[in-house]
Amino acid sequence: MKSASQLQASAANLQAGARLALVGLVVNIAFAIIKIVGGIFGHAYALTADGAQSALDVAGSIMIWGGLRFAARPPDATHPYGHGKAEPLTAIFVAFGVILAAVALAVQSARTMLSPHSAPAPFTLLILLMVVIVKETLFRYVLRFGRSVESLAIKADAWRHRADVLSSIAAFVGISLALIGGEKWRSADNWAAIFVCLIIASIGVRLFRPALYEILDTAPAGEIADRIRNAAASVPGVIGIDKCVVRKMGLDFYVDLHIEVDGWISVYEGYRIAHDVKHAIQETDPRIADVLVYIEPAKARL
Amino acid sequence: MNSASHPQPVATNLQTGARVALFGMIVNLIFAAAKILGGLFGNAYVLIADGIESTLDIAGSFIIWGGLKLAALPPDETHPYGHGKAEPIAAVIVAFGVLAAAAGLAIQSVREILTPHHGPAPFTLIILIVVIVIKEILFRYVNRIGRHAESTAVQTDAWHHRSDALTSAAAFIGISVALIGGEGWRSADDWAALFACAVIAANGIRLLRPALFEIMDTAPRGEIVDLVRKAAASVPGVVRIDKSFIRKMGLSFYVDLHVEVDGNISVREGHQIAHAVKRAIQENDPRIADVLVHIEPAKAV
Repeated sequence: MKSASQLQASAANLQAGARLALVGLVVNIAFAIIKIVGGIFGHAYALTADGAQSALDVAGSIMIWGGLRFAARPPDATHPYGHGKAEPLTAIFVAFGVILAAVALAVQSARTMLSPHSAPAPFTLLILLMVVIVKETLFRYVLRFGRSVESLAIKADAWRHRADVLSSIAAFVGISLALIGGEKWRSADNWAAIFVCLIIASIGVRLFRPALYEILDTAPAGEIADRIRNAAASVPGVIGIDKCVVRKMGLDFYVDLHIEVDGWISVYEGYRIAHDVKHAIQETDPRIADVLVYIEPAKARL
Repeated sequence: MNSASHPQPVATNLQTGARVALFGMIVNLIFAAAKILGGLFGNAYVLIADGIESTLDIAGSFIIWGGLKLAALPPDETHPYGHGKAEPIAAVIVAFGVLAAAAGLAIQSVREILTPHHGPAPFTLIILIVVIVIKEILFRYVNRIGRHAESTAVQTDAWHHRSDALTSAAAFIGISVALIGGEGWRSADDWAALFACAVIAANGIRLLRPALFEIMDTAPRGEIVDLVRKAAASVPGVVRIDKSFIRKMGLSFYVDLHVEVDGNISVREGHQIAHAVKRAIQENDPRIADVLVHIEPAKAV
């Protein structure tokens, strides 16, 4: 099984991601309060609805935090392959949350469009500007981290921040139009909100695909399989490499490998070669959590 | 790996499951139309809500059907372990849909309770009786198939029918109370709708749990582990069984097994033992799609 240092590498990355989710949580709590209070006093319905969504986002952040921490747990008796699959699952939860948020925003906007309301106050624009800047910064930072550790859940968390940026921009444009245009443009903020709903929903849908692939144990694309084959072939005693199957579990990889050796050597020697192969492979990439080597007698010698 | 002998009974079970899901879809389509129209003309909000839920069921059945079709595909280049995980994924998506529907209906019910409206018409009760009877029959039938095939998705589908029967029963009671009680009891059907939401949400969570366990590659409980170990241990030449990991992929199982043999025999002989172990295990249970045997020298030797 995996050595302690490898375990810590992926677990540490997941835990760092969990900490980022906590940062998002604190920011969302602060924004929820500011937006709801500002929206009520500034008569900006879009802002109040936005604030309600931030409040719901807090629940989302807690789930991401929990999911990533769960994924970081080492293998145990009931989960012999580790808890890595909790990572793409968390990404799926986030994707659902993003789509639901878009639907909720659309329903709310359509509803208020039908009922007249008073014009929003200018100071609500300042709140939105601040939200856009802070959330866009968070988005970039979290996305970069998510990319560097190749975590779908952390990347999905980043896109949640981007969705907030978009809805805040829509509210900003809508409120600006209502302020400049006067009476006729009162429902502009609602139209802007509905437009943004579509964008947010499409972000949600886009987050699904890679997570689904990973849960399906799709063979990872790219050179990882080649690197594993090369590493295995370089071990003395290995005559040929037959099947090499790789699957991703969260941030870890699991490898099933069929290698061919001289059929007349003893099982003891074959076992030693298998161990060398495993070490050689794990040295090429610390993300490989386990390699199961299946020893076959080389066909040419039969 | 034996992609060629991808167990036949599994594929047939999946196809039966897919057919059952398709049938459920047609029933739901008819009911959804009947409930929504009846609710609109009969002035029963709970019936409209119920109808919307049936509409969502159609989407749910469609997803389950697609998931099962995908899960039945044999292993290929990009999916060396088969497509079985599509099955619990479909279950997760449907469970989410159910939870979202419950939340949406609860919000609507509360709104209806707060705004006074006319009492429901008596003919709505007849629609509900038809729905309850047919849905309960469907539940029993589909659940039997799901249990037999050990498919999470098909069982999910079955419980969906049961939750429909329950919500319709709640609607029946609510409308009856509103009709018998008169003026003061007008909102009884809305309260019934609220109760139905709680039932729907509980069902959603019920469905979510096993699907999540499966996606997490949780070691299957029960006797399958013992059966695998016993079958392997019975093969001549096997000294001891070390680790045995089993994971579920849709309706099939994958086994990783560490077998200890005499360290002084040749790799060829060891390989033959490994093959015999694999065959012994697969003969025991046709749902086991593949066994990867890792041969180790026995520690005592």
